[in-house]
Order: sequence, then structure tokens, then C-alpha cells
Amino acid sequence: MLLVENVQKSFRLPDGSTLPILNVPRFAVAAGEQLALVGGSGSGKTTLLHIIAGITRPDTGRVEIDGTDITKLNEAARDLFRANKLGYIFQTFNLLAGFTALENVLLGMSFCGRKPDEARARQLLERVGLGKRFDHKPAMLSVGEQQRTAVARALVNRPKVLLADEPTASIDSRHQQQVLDLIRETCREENVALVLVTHAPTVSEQFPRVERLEELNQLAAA
Amino acid sequence: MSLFKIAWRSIQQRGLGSTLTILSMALGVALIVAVLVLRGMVDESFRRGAQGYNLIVGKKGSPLQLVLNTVYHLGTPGEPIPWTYYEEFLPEGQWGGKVAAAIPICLGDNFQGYRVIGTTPDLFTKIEYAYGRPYEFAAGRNFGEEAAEAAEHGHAHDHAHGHDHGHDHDHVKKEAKTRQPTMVSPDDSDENEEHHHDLPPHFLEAVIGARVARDTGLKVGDTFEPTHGVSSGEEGHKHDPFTVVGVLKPTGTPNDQALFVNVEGFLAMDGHSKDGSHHHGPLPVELREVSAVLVKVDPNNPFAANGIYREVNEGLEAQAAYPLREISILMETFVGPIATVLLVIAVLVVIVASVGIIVGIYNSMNERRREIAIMRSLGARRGSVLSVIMLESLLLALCGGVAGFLLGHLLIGAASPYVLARTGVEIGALQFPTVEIPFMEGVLIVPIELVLLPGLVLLAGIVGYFPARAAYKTDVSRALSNAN
Ligand SMILES: Nc1ncnc2c1ncn2[C@@H]1O[C@H](COP(=O)(O)OP(=O)(O)OP(=O)(O)O)[C@@H](O)[C@H]1O
Ligand SMILES: [Mg+2]
Repeated sequence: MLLVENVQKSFRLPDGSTLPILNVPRFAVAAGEQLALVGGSGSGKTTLLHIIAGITRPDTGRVEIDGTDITKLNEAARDLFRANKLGYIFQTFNLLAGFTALENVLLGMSFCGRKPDEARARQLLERVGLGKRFDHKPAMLSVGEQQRTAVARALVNRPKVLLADEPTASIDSRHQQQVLDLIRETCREENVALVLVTHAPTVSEQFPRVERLEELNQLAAA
Repeated sequence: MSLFKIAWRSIQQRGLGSTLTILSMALGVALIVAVLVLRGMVDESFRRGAQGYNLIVGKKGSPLQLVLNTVYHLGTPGEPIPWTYYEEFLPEGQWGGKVAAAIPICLGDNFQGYRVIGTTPDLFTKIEYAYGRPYEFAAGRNFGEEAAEAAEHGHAHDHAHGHDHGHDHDHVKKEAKTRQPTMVSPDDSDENEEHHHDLPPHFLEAVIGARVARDTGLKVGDTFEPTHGVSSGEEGHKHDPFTVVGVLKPTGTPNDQALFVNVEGFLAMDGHSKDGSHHHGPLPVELREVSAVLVKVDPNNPFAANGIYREVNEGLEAQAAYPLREISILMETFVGPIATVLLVIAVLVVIVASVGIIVGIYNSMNERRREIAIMRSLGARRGSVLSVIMLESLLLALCGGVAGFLLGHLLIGAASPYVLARTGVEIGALQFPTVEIPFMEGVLIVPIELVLLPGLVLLAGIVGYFPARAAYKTDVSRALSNAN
């Protein structure tokens, strides 16, 4: 489902030098598979997710999702592809403050080129336990509820891959597990592959597969 | 969710800032509307008084002064011209055949500061105060019709005959009874030749303007004594009072502020004869003078005005002036530039408000960057986020514009009773100002909305473009990392 091959990425620093961050020979995720991605701070986990999402372009290599090499697509096509095939959850501030929970979910359907399916949005919000909070703005939701809204939004377009960057790191420990379970269960129900970045061993140890970025990354070989 | 709705939500989210931006835009637009309506009002009220006739004939000199004096009662009246000039416009006169109406205007007296104008009843029957608007009486009637006849026949009016005539005339009028007490009976006047009760009653009739009626309290049946313009103190020979027989409806012209008396009665007053002598009965024609003559040419032969204009101006004593031309020059010289300055200020306010839109969007750019990044992560294209910001700018400008129109028209509606009372010009909340746009060697007169709305859209597009470009260029990866 997801295949990252020979992806290299380095950043150009203000002083003109280049800072190599990634050199990933191969990283593959099967359809519906769930894995935890761990690694030290600054190791390049977020950068890898951005490359997979088509937000950042790798310097070389290919990123194949559902049979399409997104590095070959132009920007507009990548945007459309992202809207349809990928879900993304950030650590915090996933939601637009001016929009209600339902509108935030509907926003996820606004750029996929298809007619928004409001019934689907409502159904997903109910699934994540926010059936009574449709009209609540993010400010009226707890961080956990905001993250659950983000989960509903990320899945609303029936993506193939869900990228989650430390989605539970900002939630108090009591609700962390709740949200984590929700993400994993819904991905299973929708048969969505899940790549979840985490620093917490209590989170990563629950996953059948755990990847260390430092092991995927062959920086020395670059 | 449509981009439109996304933009609208963003405006709502920044409620206070958006409201202030919309408000400043609204004030600018309201100002534009108000200035344009005001300009149109001044223009209209000035032009009105100069409509209904083609030429003003008066003493040689500045044509503008003649027009201002005759039509707008501004300045002291100039020298009069011999009565014969007026007679040349009557049917038997030199220009009689080309003329539909000629109205003598005799100036020099006032009543409580309002001009007393000696004229003929034709003023209210043969001339309109504005295109398509004849004079109307709020109460009473026009003054004695015989006056015109009397003028045509000069002073060769048999007194007895005149009285009979006037008497018969009075009986057919409704107000005859109410006027009776103030009028001197014909028999009485016949007996007292030495007194100046030797004018037929209708010579001493008057019609007053709406404003005069309101301010002085004069009404039909009342009498008043005009005061001689310059030397009101010297009242050697008391004159018979004039009787109000009619009150005009408001016209929005300076005539609302004047009292019109039968020219025969006017000329018979002391100090109104050429040689200063005083006479009993109608003034002999050789002693008559007239301040100005309003000339309306035969509508079937409008070009006759040009001929009369030339011929009168070739003479040494009198001039002819086109009132509308003089007023247009006046408007272009004085009122036009003032209105333009006000308009420029109003447009500047709108531009400042537009700059407020840029500032507002730029100030919120930091929080927007995150929102833009989220939308991009959801698959929004660069063009989409650019459009959202452009739409936001457009919506702010248009909301301000619409609010401004409502505010402007509301203000006009609120001011209209005051304006009507002051100037007689009717304006309503639904008065839509027009602007003239040069177009293919002509001008298009279009409602201001048709210019302002596209103008606002253009302005919003220009000011929205700068923050929209910043949104377009947002580095999504960095924006997402910064907040995480
Ligand atoms: N746009 C950029 N320009 C320059 N350097 C960058 C840029 N983006 C990321 N980096 C650098 O790349 C490295 C990897 O960053 P990245 O955010 O991917 O790390 P991470 O593994 O997600 O770290 P963390 O666990 O703290 O989130 C960091 O050293 C970071 O400073
Ligand atoms: Mg990271």
C-alpha cells in the first residue's frame, strides 16, 4: 500500500551548507497494517511523514501509495491525491478555530473533488463519541475531543493511509489510551494503514510492528 | 464546504476586527453616497429656479449678476430698464411673435426681509418652476388676471371701467368675501380721488411663496405693506396694503421666499416711477421701469431664443442672458470643485478602509499560516487558499459597501424632511445619485451603485492580493512544524 524507496532529503541551511536528514532505502507498509514509528527528537520522523503526504518533496527516490508514485505528480495533483488517499493527524491544533466540529470534519471533504457527504461526517463524529458536539467550536472541546474530531476528519474521505504525528502526546494520560484505541479501531474498521509516530514506549509497545527511524535511515551511506 | 463559506467563517471568527473594517468601509461609502446626493441636490435646486424660461433680459452688465439677482434674489437689484423692453415681448412688440410668455420682474421692495416682486399672473400660469412642474397653489388663487391686460393697454384704463371689471371679477372668486373687509369699496375710492384708493382691487393682490407663508404667518385674506428696499424709514406717503389671495406650494426654488404682487400695484407705489413723482392710478407707461423680463420663447421655435439674445445684446441699454448657462458656469466654477474635493475625501476614506483590510489580514497572518497549512494538509491547493483570502477581502469590502449604501440612504432619508423644509427639494431615502462617465464622445449617466460596486470589487481585489499571495506562498511543512 505504501512504499518508500531510496528517499533522500537534506535541508539547505541559511549559511549555505546542506544538512542531510533522511536516506531511507526502503520502508513499506501493507494495506490496513498498523505500525509505530519511534526515534530520537530531530531524527526526521516528521520530515518522513511530510514526504509521504506529499507536503515535502524528497530530493530523490519514490513514494508509492496505492500504486501511484506521488513524486511524479505535479503539486496540484499531489494536493488532490492527498485529499483522497491520505489522512493526517498532528499533535495539536488540528482544527480551525472558526469552524464547528462538524464543519471541521466537512472541511476534510472540501478539497477531494467530490460532493461532501454530510451523513458520513456525522456518522464518523458519532463513532468517535462526539454525536452531541456537532455544533461545538474547538474552544469548547477538550484536547482529547479535538483529537477525536481530527480522527474523524482524517478518515472522512476513506483514505488508504493515516499518518499520525504524536497524536496523543498532548492528552492527559487518562484519555490517551481512549484516543489511541479509537484511532486503531477505526483504522481497522476502515481498513486504513496506520503510521503513528510516538515517543512513548507505553504507546509503541501496543503495536505489532515498531520501526525505529534511526534504523530505517542510512544517513552514513549517503 | 465552499471556499466562500470558508472565507465567511474566517471573517466571523475575527468578528471585532472584521466589524471595524466593515464599519470604516461603510462610512467611506456612506460619505460618497451623501456627497453625491448633496451635490445632485444643490445642482437641482440651483437649476430649478432657472428653468421654465429661456432668457432673462435686464440692464447691461454682468449676465451672472443679472441671473443671480433675478432668480436667486442675491445682491441688490441692478438698474432697471425702460418698460418698453417688456412691451417689445408682448404680442404687438418686436419679438412678440416668437415669444410664448414674457414676465416682468420688478424688484426693490421687501416684506420682513423677503423680496416683494412686482409681476404678472402669467408667472404662475405660463411658466413652470421646473421641467414638467407647474406652480400650484396650496391655498387661494392667482392674483388678478386683468393685470396683464392693463399692462398691454398701458395706462389707458378707465377707472370706472376698471373698478366694474374688478368687482365682477371678485364675485366669481371664492375668496371675495374674505377679502372684502380689507379691500376698499369701489364707491369709496371713487369719492376720494385725492387719496390713492384709485386702483382696481385686483391691482393690490398678492401671491406668496410657501416659505414666506410659513415664516411670516401670512395667509389668504391677510394684508401686508411692502417696505422700500433701501430706505424703509421714509414713509411720506402711505401706500395701500396688498392682500394675499394665494399661497404657493413649495417649489424648491428661491420663489418660495418671495411675495408676488400685481405689477400694476407695485408700480403705483411711491418711489417706483421713473421720475420719482407720485401718481394715482396706474403708472403712465413712460414712467414705468422693469428690473428684468423673463422670456419664454415659442416652444415650436426654440431657436428664436438665439435671435432675441443677439438682438437684445446688440442694443446699448439692455442685455439678455441664458439663465441655465450662467448657472452651469457657476456650478462648474464653485459648487463643482467643492463637491469634487468632498468626493476625493470620501474616496480616500474608502481607500484607507481598504488598507485596513490588508492590515487586518496581515495582522492575523500568523494564526492564518497554521490554518492554511491545515487546509493544505487536507488537500487544499495553493490556488484555493489564495481564493479564500481574496474572497475574504471581497466580502469585507462588499459588506462595507452595502452597509455604506444603507447608511447613506438612511442618513438621506433622515435628513430629507429638513432638506425639504430648507430648500423645498424633495429627496428620499431611495434617491439614487448618478455619476456621469465619459463614454465614446458622450457621457453615460449611471447610478452610482454601478460604478461603486465594481470599484469596490476592484479595490478589494487589489488589497486582497497581497495577503493572498503570502497565503499562496506559505511553506506548509514549516507552518505545521512550528505549531507542533
Ligand atoms: N525546513 C527545514 N529547514 C531546515 N531544517 C529543517 C527543516 N525542517 C526540519 N529540519 C530539521 O530536520 C531535522 C528533523 O526534523 P523533524 O521535525 O523531522 O524531526 P522529528 O523526528 O519529527 O523530531 P521530533 O521528534 O522532535 O518531532 C531537525 O533537525 C530539524 O531541525
Ligand atoms: Mg516531529
